[in-house]
Amino acid sequence: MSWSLLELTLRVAVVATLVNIPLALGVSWLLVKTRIPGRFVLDVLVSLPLAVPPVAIGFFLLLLLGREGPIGGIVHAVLGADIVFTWVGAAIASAVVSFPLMARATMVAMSGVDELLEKSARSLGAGPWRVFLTITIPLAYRGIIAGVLLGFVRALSEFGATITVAGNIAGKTQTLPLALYSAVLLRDDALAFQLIAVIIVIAIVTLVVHNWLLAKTIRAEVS
Amino acid sequence: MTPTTEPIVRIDIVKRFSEFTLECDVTFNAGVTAVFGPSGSGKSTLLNCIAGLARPDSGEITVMGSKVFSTNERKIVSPDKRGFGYVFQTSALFPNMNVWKNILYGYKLTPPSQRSAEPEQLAQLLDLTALLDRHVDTLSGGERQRVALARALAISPKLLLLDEPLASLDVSFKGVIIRYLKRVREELRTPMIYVSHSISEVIALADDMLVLSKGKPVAQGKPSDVLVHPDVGTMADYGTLENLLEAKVVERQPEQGLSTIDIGGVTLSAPDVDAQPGDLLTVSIRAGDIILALDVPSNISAQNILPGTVTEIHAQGPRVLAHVNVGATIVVELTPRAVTALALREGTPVYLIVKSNSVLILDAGGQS
Amino acid sequence: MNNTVLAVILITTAFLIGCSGSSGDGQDEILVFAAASVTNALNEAVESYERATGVNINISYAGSQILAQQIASGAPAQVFISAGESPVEFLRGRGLVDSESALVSNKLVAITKRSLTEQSLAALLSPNIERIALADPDVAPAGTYSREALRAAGLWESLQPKIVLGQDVRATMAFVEAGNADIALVYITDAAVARGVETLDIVPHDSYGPIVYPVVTVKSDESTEAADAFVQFLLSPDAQEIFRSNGFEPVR
Repeated sequence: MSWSLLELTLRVAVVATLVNIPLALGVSWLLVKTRIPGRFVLDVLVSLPLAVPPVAIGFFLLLLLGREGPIGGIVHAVLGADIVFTWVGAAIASAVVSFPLMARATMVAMSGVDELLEKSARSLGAGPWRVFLTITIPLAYRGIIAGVLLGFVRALSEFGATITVAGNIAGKTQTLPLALYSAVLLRDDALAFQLIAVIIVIAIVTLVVHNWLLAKTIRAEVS
Repeated sequence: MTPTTEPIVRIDIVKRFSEFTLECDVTFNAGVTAVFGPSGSGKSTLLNCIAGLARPDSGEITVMGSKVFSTNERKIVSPDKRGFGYVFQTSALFPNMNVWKNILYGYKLTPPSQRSAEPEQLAQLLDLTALLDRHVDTLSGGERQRVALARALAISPKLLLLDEPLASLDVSFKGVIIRYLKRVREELRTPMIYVSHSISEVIALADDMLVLSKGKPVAQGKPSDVLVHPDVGTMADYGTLENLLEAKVVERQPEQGLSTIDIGGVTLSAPDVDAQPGDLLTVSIRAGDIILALDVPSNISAQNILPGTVTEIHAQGPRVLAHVNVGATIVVELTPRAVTALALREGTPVYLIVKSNSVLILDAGGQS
Repeated sequence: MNNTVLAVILITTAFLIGCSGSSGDGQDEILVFAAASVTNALNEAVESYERATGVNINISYAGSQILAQQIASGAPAQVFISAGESPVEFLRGRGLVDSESALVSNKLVAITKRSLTEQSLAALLSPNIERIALADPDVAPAGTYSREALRAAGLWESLQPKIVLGQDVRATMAFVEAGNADIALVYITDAAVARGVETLDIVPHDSYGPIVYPVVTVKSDESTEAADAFVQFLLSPDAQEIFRSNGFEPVR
């Protein structure tokens, strides 16, 4: 259990979560506050990574982001760099897998904001973007943060997609869950328990804050 | 007599729902226009279409000369650009801001050149100055609606839309809000469209009245005329027609359980009230609780005998509503037989007889 | 609005920096895919190679099947060490194999906590052996070889009711360690890290296999010079000694 392992794991999970936040907010707003056609399809797409085995997601990403893939090919040609088998690939894998959790929690938070308040703001002269920033988000922020934490905790523990698209390369892409996998395979019990303990501590702290935030939201709505 | 006013709103729209179709081709003039009807008649939808919060299937809406919606011209002005204030039934105050910030919300979005009202003045007009830094969750129902009113007026609206603003309020707060609405009408002269299912509110506030039933207009005109219209009769429970009047406390006689109040210069005896002399109240006197006499009756129990003159008589079939000016105008419900028997017409001097406990005090007490 | 745009730019920049910090081609860095079972041996060998040559070796350890799938899906690995032939066949069928050599071999042994009635595979028939754990032949090469050995001993059919399959060799060992199975057939390199069991050399060496761990250079448009050099090192006596000391058998 080294500091660089923890740093890599956190870096991957934090970047994945940060990238997901604007996407989750945007998608949630589209699905909850608008009536655009194709909402149903978008909703299914958003939830899809939940229903698909992470390894399958990993392979899909590998095809997309690998040197011969549509996106990876361009990056390789232009920058001479790979996305796959780097920490960036690991971050993308974590982001995709954890996105549905964040998005669904964000949707719940936003739909908890009374539509009448938003209509009221419109009647007072606020355009949709201003309503979103001054009314929807401030009233939903606790639920949104809870969703972000949920996404973070999922990104942190992501394994199947990560090992497929980023590999299990110590020092470069081996996050805590992957290191745990290797420790178990090699029967290094001492290391395995250490890693489990760290993962559990981070997860517990995150989930406690998440639950506390949601409890505050429920109390606020009831009062 | 209709004064020569330009129509404020021309609305000609169709909007289909599963239960009915809203089909309206009406115009509204300046002043307060009430839109009345049973629930599900489309009155809130009509209001929302004017505000831009609902979209008609087809038609045109013109407000003060400019089109805000037109299918032919493919024009829809978004609600934030229409400049109409909206007061919701449940106030819809923003819980993440205090009272002052709520009031300022739309004010800040109004271009300075278009501002004719200042938030401080509105706060004074609606007696909110002491409440400005309060959190909206700590307010009473009446206080919330006053804030909602101030907030809507702060955008210097061309038109004020109110969707059953009194419906969710406790009886004790209704009087307060009616008083403030009258104040707004008198001092700001903003045209108002007021959706309601209460005929008492309509009588108290409206200059003009549109009745909707199942999405179609049934009658439009002066409230007292419309209220005696045969088609409207089925919708309005006349037993509930109240006179909602502003009154000032003169003095209390708690030992007798009575108080003296002043309505428009004439004093009445009413039940005792928890208020100080000089406090303003709203009282309600049911139109059916008032007896009309041509002569002063003697040796009767009722405390209030008010001299006045008949100013209007609206009669249709079995329904008669008479307006009598005793200092304030009071609406009295009569039978056609009584009208004939007393030979009542405009100008007839009469006496109104009201028991003191027919005078219902609507305020909880004082300035709440 | 501006804050969002700024955030997007910052994240994209970080992303691109992250990417360009890792180029897979080039003379001083190679990406190696290796079966998890060779982890300790390979790490040791690579350490000495890196020290000697200054080349940076990145190794991704996982199951051989998944590694082969990744390569077939465009993973930029240059060297692949597989725990069995079929993942390499899979790649060969897709024209992805440049050169192949046999790196090391392995041996099947039995691990158990029970005492056997006799020191041979026939002991598996006795009633005191209720459950036999094998790696799933469909998924793990060790399972395929185990089946081969049991068939050669004429025991495969009769032992069917007693056999439980583990999805990999580690799971198979865990069955025996936890007491859920009485005996298992595993590689000798796996048995070396098994806990609380006895290792018995009762599987006839010529009844299965040969077990081969192929090392493969992946076909590529870019130069395979560095990859070839590394493979040569792995086949050299020095590296082979490292594998031997970690329990692997030399290639027969």
